Amino acid sequence: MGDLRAFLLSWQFETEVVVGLALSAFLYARGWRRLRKRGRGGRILRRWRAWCFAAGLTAVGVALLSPVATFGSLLMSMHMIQHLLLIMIAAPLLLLGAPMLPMLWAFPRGGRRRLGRLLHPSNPVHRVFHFLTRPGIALPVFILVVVIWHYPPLYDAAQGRTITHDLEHFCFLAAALLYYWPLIHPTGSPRRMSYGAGILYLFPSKLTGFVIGASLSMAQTPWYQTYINAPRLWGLSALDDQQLAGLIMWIFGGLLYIFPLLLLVVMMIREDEGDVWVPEVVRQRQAAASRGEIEAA
Amino acid sequence: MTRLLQHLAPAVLLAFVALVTATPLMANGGTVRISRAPVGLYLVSVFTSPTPLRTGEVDVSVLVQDAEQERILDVPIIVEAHPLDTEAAAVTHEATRQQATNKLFKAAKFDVLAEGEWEFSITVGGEEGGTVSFQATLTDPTLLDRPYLLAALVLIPLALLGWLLLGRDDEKDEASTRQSRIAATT
Repeated sequence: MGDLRAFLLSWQFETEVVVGLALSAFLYARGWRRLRKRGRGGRILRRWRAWCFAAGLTAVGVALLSPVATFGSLLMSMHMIQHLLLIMIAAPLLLLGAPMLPMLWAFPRGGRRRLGRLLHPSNPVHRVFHFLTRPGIALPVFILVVVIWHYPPLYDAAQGRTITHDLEHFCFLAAALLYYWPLIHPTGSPRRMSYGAGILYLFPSKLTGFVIGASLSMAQTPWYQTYINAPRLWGLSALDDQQLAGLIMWIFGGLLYIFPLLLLVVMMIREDEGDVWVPEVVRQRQAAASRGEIEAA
Repeated sequence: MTRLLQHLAPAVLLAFVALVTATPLMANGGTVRISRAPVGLYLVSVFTSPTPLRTGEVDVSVLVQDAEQERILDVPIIVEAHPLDTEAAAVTHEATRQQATNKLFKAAKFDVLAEGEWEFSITVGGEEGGTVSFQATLTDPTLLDRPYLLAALVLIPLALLGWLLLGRDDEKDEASTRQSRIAATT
């Protein structure tokens, strides 16, 4: 068996990942179909959003089940690709899929109401989530998670098939979802950050990736015991592999930031030209405010 | 037909969940036991999983490389497990690519039923190879080793059952609401 063929065939089966992905896809599809059938969901329920959600789930699957995951324990460069897939591709795509509404509608009326209560602004669950998705909270949490998990003792502790490895991936995905939330605001609620502020919001995390990536690629010794101990594949030394991982984080991570940046610039220009969709809630509030002004006048 | 599918959906979903959770939670990778040990003309690396090693199914994955670590070699590999402090029988298995998740490796998956100290010997290649061994302690597994497995096994099927079988359908709700409105007006 050739090495390339062996690599491509090295998929793994993670029960909790497969169950999670299958359930998420099932709930989204069921709710989406229901809403479409009833003509509800409006602007949120576009076909492209369903495709984004499917692509996000696929990215999670590729990151956690494909040869990228299998070789992550042997090559740091593969582990870096796995993290980039989770953080920079899966998380924004899942949020662009606006999954809350379709997933809520997957449930029968009683269950939907009970879950809906959790999302009411007076509910503590909603308040905690609202707090965590504040730009001033989500950004430092995301940076902290990325920095902490690259600290060698923690990184090494997360390798192997232990609960810490699953925890590492969960932290990355959860922190990335929180981080992208105020940028994408997938619920259709009023934006919590202008497009211009969004551009600034991207910068610190980009800088963090740049610093960690550059440090890894310029280091003179390998940082992580896991890869020092691992068998070397294809003549790649532990240091070569680490430098490659650093370059992937530095260069590809940087390139992946260009897409949201460009998108925000385009949205900012369109907003200036008055060509941006305003959520129904915001329109109603604006209308109420202008009525109030007229009455006051 | 659609109604039949709707009724079958819970059973299909539960069967799927049962099937995937029953699949052994094994894969190559795991703990490095031997790293790049010279064995005859070869360099041998050995990984075991699960981490930590528990009684039940054990996965011993072996990577055989040339001395320069540039080529991965396809040589016969035999894995033997001997108990050191119990009366349990020794186990011998051939490692194959088919059993390996990482297809660069060869893996042997077999049951080790007694807890305690075990010695694992890996015999690589023919006359140009040799044997390398390591010792490991096996303990009995507990469900707390994988708490989310416990949750998946118990909570997900129960929640799905409750939701899909006991939850009232919207269509039925609306139909009954319509009927009660008609009854009220007539």
